Amino acid sequence: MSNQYLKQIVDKNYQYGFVTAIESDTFAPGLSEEVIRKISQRKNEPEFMLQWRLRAYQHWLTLSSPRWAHVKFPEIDYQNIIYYSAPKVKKDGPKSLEEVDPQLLETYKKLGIPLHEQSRLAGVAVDAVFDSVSVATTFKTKLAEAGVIFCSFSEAVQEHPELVEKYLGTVVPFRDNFFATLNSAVFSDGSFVYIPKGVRCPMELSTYFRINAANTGQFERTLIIADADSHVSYLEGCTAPMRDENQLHAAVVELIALDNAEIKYSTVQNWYPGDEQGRGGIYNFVTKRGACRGKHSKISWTQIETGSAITWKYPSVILQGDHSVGEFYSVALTNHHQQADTGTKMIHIGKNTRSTIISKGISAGFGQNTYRGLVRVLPQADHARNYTQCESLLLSNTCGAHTFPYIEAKNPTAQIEHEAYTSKIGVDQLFYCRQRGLSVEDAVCMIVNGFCKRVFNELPMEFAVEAQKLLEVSLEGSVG
Amino acid sequence: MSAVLTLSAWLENAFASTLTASQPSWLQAFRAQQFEKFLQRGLPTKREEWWKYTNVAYLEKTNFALAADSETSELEKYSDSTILLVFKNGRFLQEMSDLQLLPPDVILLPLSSALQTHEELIKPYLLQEPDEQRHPFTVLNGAFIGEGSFLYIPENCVVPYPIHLLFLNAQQNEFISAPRNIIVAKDNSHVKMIEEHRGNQAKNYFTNAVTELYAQANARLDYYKLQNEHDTATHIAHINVQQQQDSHVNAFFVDVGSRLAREDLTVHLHERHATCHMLGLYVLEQDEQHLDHHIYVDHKASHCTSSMLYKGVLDKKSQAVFNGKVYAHSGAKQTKAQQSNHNLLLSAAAEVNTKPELEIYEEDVKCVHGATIGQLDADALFYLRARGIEKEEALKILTQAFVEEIMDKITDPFMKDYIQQRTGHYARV
Repeated sequence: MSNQYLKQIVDKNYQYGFVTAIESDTFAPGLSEEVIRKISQRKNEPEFMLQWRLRAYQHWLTLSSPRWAHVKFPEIDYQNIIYYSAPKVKKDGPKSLEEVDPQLLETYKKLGIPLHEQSRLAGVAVDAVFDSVSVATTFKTKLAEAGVIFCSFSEAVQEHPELVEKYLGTVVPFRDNFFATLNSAVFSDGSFVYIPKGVRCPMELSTYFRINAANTGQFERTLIIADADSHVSYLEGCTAPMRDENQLHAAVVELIALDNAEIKYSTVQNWYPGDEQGRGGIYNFVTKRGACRGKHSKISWTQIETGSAITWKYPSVILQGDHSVGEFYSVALTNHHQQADTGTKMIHIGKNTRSTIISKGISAGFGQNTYRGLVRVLPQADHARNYTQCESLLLSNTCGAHTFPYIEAKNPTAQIEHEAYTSKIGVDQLFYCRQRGLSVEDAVCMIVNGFCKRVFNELPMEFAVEAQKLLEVSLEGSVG
Repeated sequence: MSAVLTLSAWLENAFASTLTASQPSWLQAFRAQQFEKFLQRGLPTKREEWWKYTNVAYLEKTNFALAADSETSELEKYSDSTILLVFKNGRFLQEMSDLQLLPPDVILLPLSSALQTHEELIKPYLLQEPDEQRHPFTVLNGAFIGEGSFLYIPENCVVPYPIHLLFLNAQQNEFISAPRNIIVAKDNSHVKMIEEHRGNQAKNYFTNAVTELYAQANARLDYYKLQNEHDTATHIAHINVQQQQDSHVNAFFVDVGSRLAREDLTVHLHERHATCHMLGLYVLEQDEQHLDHHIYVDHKASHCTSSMLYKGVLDKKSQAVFNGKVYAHSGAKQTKAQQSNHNLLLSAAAEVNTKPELEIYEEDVKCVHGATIGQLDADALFYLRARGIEKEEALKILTQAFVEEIMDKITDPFMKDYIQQRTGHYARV
């Protein structure tokens, strides 16, 4: 019974696997100080950016690729990666959507991104990043009225260098880890968001990332700053074409929430996962971290991870401000030969800080799914509270599900709870549903939906549609 | 690597003084090889995942030597109806041991005697090669094999009285003792035993113990360990359990002593329907007291069950580490595994690092784990205070209740009584 449905998912193709034939401005593969200077020059960056990149590069040379994660992959040749690839555009760059290469827009249409004006219905402002460069940002004017800055990272460097200099690298320093350091040296673009004091961002902000060119690494950097009493909800989606070789995606996301501010960051990650034999696919090695700097601030991560050959990311929250709140909701699906080592870190520093972790892992085929989390309560974090729940569903004989939670408590008033279980869908659960006239598929769908519901509920409406669509196909067929 | 050199200085001396001509040549060769292996590996550091929270660097600075011959001491037996083997500072004490109740077909000997009388029987159990990266101190113990105990229960034999292995450490300072215990329970046999380490007027000594438990088909083994070393002592132990079909092992750990204690428990469930229940209680009430439990349960066959329940009370500036790992191999169908670790922090300086892990390669499993860290319930405390109970007394009552859950799992009343008396005020009822 299960085999039949498993086969369905095995046969399901990656529908975003097309390549767009677009002329692009691309560097030769390889990494050196020269390349970094060229990236910086191409972006017309101020001196502090170049120096920062070079310091990161010097530090990166002293590091070696980390080995502790529960994933296996051949050594990456960092000299064989193209560090800069930009769609060729008219010299002055696009000022409005009309000036953007129509083929590019066609690509986004295929992806279902409401980039055009009709997106007004969806009410989503989109910043689309193609390979390494941000190509278009919608609704700029409307956001500007509210005082919100939402633009590509390179634009921010030109127009708001003081904000960039003040906050860049303060949450994820360039020395943080191998991939974050690499990103700091070579990142070519990304998104920048600044919500001024007391502003509630009038719409959901969204970024779409797409890797198009072959042999390219995508290194983008996102920086979101929510000033006091502000609120923002940010969405991120990703796709890539089908290629036989592996491509590297090493992004860095930094969130900063000041007093009473709230940031909600949602991700639907659907990079190309490779084929049934595990050939190709994206290596998704991402560093995401938020700092709740202010009192009563809140950062919430929601992620739906269905793509990538290897996912390696730990969206974390540093709870510095008293009464600050961190949340992490995750559904991670691994099928075929996908590997995911994902989880979160909650660092409690302020008093009365609270964190919630809900993680759902689903493994099928030969997938390996690992939850790795850290909850750390420092001595000064009086009355810190954490609740962690991680659950894993195993759908085949050949997959694996692992849980590695680290809990470190140095304060007696802290209250920490962790619970986890790993199992397959119960025969009795299925029987119960079947008895009430549901087909196997419907029953399985219902049970799995119930399994993920707590996380789906956290997604913003605009995104829930896509996420559900993505998971439904994958989930429905893979359980039995 | 200067660290290894300073370490090897006292090690070389200690090792040289244990080389006696009376040991069989195969053992001498094996010990020399294990010694070499340990020297090459060196002491584990905090950069290693298995030693992330436990720092043993100070061991290289202490000049441990072998204990000199010692006189007998006063001691109390926990019941008259026990079979007792006593070791003092790592040496066997014939006159204090009591083997009267031992059934005639059961072998219970100090290792040094067993090597002379049962050399061929014991040889395969001693020549085990541990992974030096994971268990460096087991390798070190291998280099010092000489004393310990050998217990062999033949098929279909039920030992009617508990067996008590008592390791006394008294009246000397800065010595190393490395007991090796081998317990073999053959098919359908049943034994109940306690391994006790007790410190008394001895300081800064180092116990490096290894206990190998073999539970053959349908054997039942109840193993209690009571670690009550002096609060300046270092106690590093590895308990390695090998289980065959339908065997049942209960392992119970009580840790109250030592400045630094490390309990490595590895359980291998080789065949179907093997069951292992692990229980642990630790009460740390000294400043700078450190306890580390590392448990690894290897589910290799189908229909096996394992459970862990560890509870700890931490006061003053003490630290506890818990790392429980369940590994289910592909094909280990119908695996049932449970892990839980609960910690009660009584002081602001106490620290707990806990990591219950699951690594599962089989779909047909039910694995659950949970961990909590917290302090006593303020409402419960208020309830007691409102009834006129002093704060200190109320705290004690609540802590006792926390501990009681574990104590209740000891089914043997004599054993329970004996352990309760040695666990400190929180365990007494």
